[in-house]
Amino acid sequence: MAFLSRCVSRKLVATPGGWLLSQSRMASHSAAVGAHGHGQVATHGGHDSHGHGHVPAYRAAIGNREVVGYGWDGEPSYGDSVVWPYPAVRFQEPSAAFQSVIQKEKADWRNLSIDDKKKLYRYNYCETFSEMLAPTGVWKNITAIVIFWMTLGLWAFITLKKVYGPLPETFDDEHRLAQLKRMIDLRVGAVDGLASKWDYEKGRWKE
Amino acid sequence: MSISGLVRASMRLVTRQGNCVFQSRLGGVRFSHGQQETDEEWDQRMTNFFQRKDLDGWDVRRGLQELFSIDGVPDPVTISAALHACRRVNDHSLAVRFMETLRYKCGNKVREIYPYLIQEVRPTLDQLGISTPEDLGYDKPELALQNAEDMHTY
Repeated sequence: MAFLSRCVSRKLVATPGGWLLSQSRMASHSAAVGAHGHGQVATHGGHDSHGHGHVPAYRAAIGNREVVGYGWDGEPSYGDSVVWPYPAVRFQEPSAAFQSVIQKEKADWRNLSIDDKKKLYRYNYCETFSEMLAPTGVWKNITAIVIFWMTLGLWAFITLKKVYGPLPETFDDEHRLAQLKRMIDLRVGAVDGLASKWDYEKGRWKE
Repeated sequence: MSISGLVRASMRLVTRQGNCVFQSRLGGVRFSHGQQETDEEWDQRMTNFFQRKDLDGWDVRRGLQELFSIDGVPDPVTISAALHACRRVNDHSLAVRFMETLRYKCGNKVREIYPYLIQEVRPTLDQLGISTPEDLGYDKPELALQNAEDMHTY
């Protein structure tokens, strides 16, 4: 229980200077009270209702959207993620269009129609899980690009084989062995290279 | 349903249920000192948490995120308690979202585990009037968003 209660009681406190994550509800309450006493902005959880005469800075970004939870990093922002399925704010502002379903939601849910429930869902969330997980089709784009470059490489290979003539005669074994013999005679790499591997007294490679 | 009724229902579920949910959960390290918590203790702890009457929306979301974060599917008893917690904070969409996470967490065993979960929590769903994502047609994509990265590139 200790871990869980530690998690659930982390609360967000907004100050003019930035964000503070208080470690307990008590702390955030006292911070709120203290800040209020000094005429500063402090909010707590879902209780950031107006009435102190101050509007938290994040209101510029989220408007009247209700802050309903911790989200993924404590910031009151919305985002759809299958890793953090419970964003910190509702997707829509509580406008007049939603007021009737919001009120109906407080009563028995069996009286809600499917349309009401869908409306409520889109009030809270932008995308459903299946929409988040829906295939984008971008694999076709990627496959096309990969095949394009593979084709280009293939054409380069065909060009080497068919368009240009055969390799020069210096590529055959006889010429290459002659070149090796010459390098040994010139003592190329006498310290730790080619010639160091050659035994000049016995006339063969060292053991 | 009263608390005692809920507990009785919970006990009934506990004695009745098979192993299929537990087997899908790995016995993970919980990074706690001392004795390691068993799966059953964890289920009980989460269930007790969701049965608390003083939870607000923040607490319920944190609890649901905790359920979501484990490597496994929660127990039907815990799910039931979580759905009741959603009812207490008057958030039907949260319950639907939670059901969606359950389906997601079933992974490639979704055809085996998910119907079992629905079958086990069906009484709670009917009692509270919660629609499953399938009832709302959310098992398939309903709307589409244009990808913001594709909007102004050309």
